[in-house]
Amino acid sequence: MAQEDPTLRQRVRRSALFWLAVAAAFYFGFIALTLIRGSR
Amino acid sequence: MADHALDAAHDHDSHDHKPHGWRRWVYATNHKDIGTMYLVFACTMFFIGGAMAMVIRLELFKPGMQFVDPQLFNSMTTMHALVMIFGAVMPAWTGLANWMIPMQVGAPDMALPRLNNFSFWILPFAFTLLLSSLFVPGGAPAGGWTMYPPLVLQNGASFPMLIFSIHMMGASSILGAINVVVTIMNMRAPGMTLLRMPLFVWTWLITAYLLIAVMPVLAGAVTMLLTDHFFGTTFFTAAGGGDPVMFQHIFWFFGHPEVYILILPAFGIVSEVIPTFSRKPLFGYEAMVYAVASIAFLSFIVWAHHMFTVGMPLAAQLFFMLSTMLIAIPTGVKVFNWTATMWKGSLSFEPPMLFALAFLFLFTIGGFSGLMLAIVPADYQYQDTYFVVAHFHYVLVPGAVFGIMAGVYYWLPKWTGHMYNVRLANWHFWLSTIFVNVLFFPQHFLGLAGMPRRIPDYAVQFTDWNMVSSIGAFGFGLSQLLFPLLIWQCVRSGAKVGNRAWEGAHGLEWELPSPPPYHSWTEAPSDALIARGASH
Repeated sequence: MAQEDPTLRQRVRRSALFWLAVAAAFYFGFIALTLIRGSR
Repeated sequence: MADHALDAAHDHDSHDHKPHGWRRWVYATNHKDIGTMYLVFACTMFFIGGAMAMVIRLELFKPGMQFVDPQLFNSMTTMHALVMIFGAVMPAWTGLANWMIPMQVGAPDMALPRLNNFSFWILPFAFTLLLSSLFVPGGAPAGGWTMYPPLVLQNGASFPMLIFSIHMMGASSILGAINVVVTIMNMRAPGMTLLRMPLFVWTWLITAYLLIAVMPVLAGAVTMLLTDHFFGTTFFTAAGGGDPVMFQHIFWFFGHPEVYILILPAFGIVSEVIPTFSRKPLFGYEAMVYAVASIAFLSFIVWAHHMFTVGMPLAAQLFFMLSTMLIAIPTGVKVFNWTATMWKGSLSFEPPMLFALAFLFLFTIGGFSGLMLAIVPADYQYQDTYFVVAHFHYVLVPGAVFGIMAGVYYWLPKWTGHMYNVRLANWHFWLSTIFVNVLFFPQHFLGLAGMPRRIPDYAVQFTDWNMVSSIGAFGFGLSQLLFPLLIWQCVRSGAKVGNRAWEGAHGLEWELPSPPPYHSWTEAPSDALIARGASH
């Protein structure tokens, strides 16, 4: 099965981590901005 | 027409190793099982949101207060929108993506199956929380799905429930979108180049990027509401130096791309269905891809057309008016290309094609009324009237919902291995199409005559068209009951179909048996198969 290919697994993992990092930075970034601005 | 011939026996089930009973669903990691759960969830929410619409139309059948008090009426409009947008249409698209993307790109499954399970199982909790707010003191959220402050801050105990459920829906959507992006970028079979991908995959890829970009903005906006309500901040309170209009800017920066999140996958489905039943390749495949990408880009720079009347500089009004009108260009390209695909084609009118054609005509009506609303001086007249309600319902019901129907009727034989009752599906189509127009077209007249939206009572001169609209709503609501009935019949006792359920169908999914094996493409499809599928 294609998923058992180790290079593909690594590519999928890297890609997933990259997009998770982008989304998390956006998501928590907006919320953090909110809290920092709000506490001034 | 459907090829009802029984396919050669296939013994794919022997390699399934699939869990049985409740574990199959709770621990599901298979893209088809998760797709099915998304679709069943979306269908359930469609009927719950639909029941709320029936309450709204029942109350508006004639002037005066009949059945519900104004607070509950406002809760119904708010909850109807939230349930339909986040609970019905978005999960339906994710369900279709789960079912079709691995099969269409030549992959065995989605790239991140456990994340897929998590994305789905967040949703029942989010909607249980949201719907249970109907039973708390003060009632469910009633300030509109747009959650404008200061009105939304007046909600009682339901307010934090609303915010938390929105966060959960957002997280689910983002995780689902990441899965789609990672699958499409990494799991395509060798030879499935980007410009060989089916349009449904393309539209979903672009939709996934939109989701990752804008759902966090919504999360930020509702978190600011939360801190304004509970932690003494004044982001949107003028008395503390804040600005309620700022919320509208942030909300619509999410809200307008959200409209395209709801409609772009429908463009993909229509681009699959029309070539199949025209027996011709899609006209202008690359132009279609670029048009979708352009629409997605433009969706980020038009948000303030939702708020022309708040008082903004003339230059800003002009910018947002003109950028909005620009969207007509790529949309026009798409409508032209769908029409050109049918030109001199060998057309037949099976249920998916009927829904796709209705989409083409009726979505275009929604698009035209959108152009009317984009004209700043005219918008001052239309703002917050039933004209707006008519406009976005034309985009979302015969647009997004008919797109989903076209997709389900197109791929249901592939999913189940059975053909549905075409006669009953035709009834479903005609009743839906007639009643959806009876329901929403008169709302244009009501809006132009000045009837405001989100009101439980109205002046007597609006009575006649409201009665017509309500009759249309009851007819549309009842005719939707045919849909689950028809699916049930299809699964239980439909005639067997072969691999290629529709004779004119192209694409990798039609090379797999019907129903497809538990893991879709355990061996990557050959280049010849991919080339045959990508005959655009």
